[in-house]
Amino acid sequence: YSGFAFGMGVERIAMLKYGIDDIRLFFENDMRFIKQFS
Amino acid sequence: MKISLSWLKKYVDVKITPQKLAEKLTSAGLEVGDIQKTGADTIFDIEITSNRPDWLSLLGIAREVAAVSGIRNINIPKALPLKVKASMKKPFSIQIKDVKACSRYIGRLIRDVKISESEPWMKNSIESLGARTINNAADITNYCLYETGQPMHAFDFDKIEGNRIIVRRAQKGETIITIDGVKRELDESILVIADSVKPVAIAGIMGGIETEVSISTKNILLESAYFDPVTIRRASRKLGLSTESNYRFERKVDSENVLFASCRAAYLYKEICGGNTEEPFLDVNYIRGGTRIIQLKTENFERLIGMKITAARVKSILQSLGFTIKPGKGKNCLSVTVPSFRDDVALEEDLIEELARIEGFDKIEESMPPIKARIDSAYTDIYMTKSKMRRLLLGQGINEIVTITLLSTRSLDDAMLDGGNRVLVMNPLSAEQEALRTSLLPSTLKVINTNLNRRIKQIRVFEIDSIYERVKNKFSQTEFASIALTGTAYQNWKDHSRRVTFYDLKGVIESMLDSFGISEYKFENKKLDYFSSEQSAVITVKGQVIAELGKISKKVCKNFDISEDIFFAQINVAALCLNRKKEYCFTPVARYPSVVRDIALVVKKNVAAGLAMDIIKETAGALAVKIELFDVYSGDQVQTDSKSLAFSIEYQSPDATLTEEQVNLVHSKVQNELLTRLNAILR
Repeated sequence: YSGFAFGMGVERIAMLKYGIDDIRLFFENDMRFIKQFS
Repeated sequence: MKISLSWLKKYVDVKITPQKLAEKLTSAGLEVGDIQKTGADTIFDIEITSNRPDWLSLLGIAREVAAVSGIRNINIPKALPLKVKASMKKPFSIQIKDVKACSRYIGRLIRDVKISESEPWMKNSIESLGARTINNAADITNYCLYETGQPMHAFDFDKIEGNRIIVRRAQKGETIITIDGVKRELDESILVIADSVKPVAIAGIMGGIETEVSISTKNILLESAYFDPVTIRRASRKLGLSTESNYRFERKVDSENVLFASCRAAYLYKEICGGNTEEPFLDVNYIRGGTRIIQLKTENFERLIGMKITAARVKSILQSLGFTIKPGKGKNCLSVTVPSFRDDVALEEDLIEELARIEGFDKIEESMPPIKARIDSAYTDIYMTKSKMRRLLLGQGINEIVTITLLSTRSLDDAMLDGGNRVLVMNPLSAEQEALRTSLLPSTLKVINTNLNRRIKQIRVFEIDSIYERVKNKFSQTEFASIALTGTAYQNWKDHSRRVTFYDLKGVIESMLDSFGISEYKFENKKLDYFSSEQSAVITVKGQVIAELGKISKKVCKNFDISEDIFFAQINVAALCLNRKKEYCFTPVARYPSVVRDIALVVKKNVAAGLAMDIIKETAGALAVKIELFDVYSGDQVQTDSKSLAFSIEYQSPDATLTEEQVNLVHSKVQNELLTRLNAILR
């Protein structure tokens, strides 16, 4: 098989979709961030 | 690198606006940053990527412009013929002592030059790129450097002692005064161009002031050579000296171009300085490399890129980039010869990339990939279990977190986790990424600490993810669900003062076990290093530990800078999945009345209530349909080392109403068992 490989983290796609401005928010797990996505 | 559009137009016709050209070049991979208008000219500042040293010349960029503009050939500037007729005359000699450092040296004698100021067109061109002009002879080498990408040097031939050029390593203690007037100390790490007495230039970097071309120069020795990138780079760093010359040698010049550049410069010396270029030149040490020929099939382009292309377009693009095309082996096949300045092209895929980037990646049509997937595989049991766990926990107001798998060994130590089973990363990027986690605890504690610092009063979190362990040389990965509770139990106006306790956590876990239909589980006191001794337990099903829970010890809390009580649990996902109830079977609802009896006993403080419950269950058997602990008391009415446990037991038979005697019988049996086995007294 042959194909085209590239990487794009799921976080970046979520940032685009939800308009999140800082990727670190995904790893800090601040409740004020988490609770926005109930 | 800066380029001047007016100068570029000498080699390729630019019919579009500078803006449009900049866009096209950028799309093709040649990023144009700054565009500046200076009078009638426009200057582009271009970012040259390290894989394309051939772009460090106007001719190199002209090829790109030709390719994106659909022009087949660029205008190669006039040069003297490349072939030299053999001659017995040898007015000078060239000797290369370090053949690895210099794998081609062309020396050319140009007689009777007239040195003066450069003509305006040459001055303007050189100055438009921000460089200085000196005199027509020096300027020609500079002009050719920008034009062809080949750095060359002009020596005053009459100042070269012994009519000899020796390319060698300097000796320790030798010095040279370079054309900037600075005296430099040399050693064996530096390659020099020397005459029979002394170094006359630092090879590939800068010439010496003694042999510099000046107003009185009559004869010029023109050097065009290939110097090894590493050697030149080392010397440049050592001397703290960097020029446009060594910049190009470090990135690798084209050894075929060494010849063309020499002939081009010679032509200019003839035209501009009136020099006599009759002398044959010397070309030393050159061993020609093999030419690379790649077979290219148009259908492979279509297959890999997903776009159609005509054979004519393939030929046009590749030719403008400097490749030569011939019919290849087989149908629709082309034989493509790679030019010497394209070391980066080795495979058919590289050619396909050239075609794709010039055509434009934005021209590739969007389409759904042909998926021939069979959607007959159902979600796995584990997947369903995790999904259910997630829903249950979210339903209880516990928020899902995701933490990073890698952490420092220090974090693992701080959480009092065993050191023997850690999986260490061989080449960690930092101390924070040294090891894979052996537990979800450290990262959870970090999250709690972050949130507490931000004054968040109630933290209820869970995470379902893997931990990694190493047992001898085998690695294993196990999925766990962690649950952590801290802070206030409820956030409402009536109950906001109650803080979360161990029993809140126990309740969450029991409701989860209940949801999975697991009823035969046991809580056992087990002291784990990271839990405090008062509250540390494991849950077993059929003798196997499936979960652990407890209050985090003061020491661990301190290590993570936390001053609150943290209640933490970890549940083995696979174990939960394995032990879940798969089939539900109806049992008839009881038709006969039940009798409730209480019993209160005083036991030592360390006796678990669960143990008492187990004894009651065991002794009463099926007759005890409900056993409830309704009070735990320690205080004035019992001894200081004891506590009182009060149970309410509901007795019921499915077959008939129990008589007073039957109930008394079983209840006293229960009582006796409890008193004996737990060393208890009735209260």
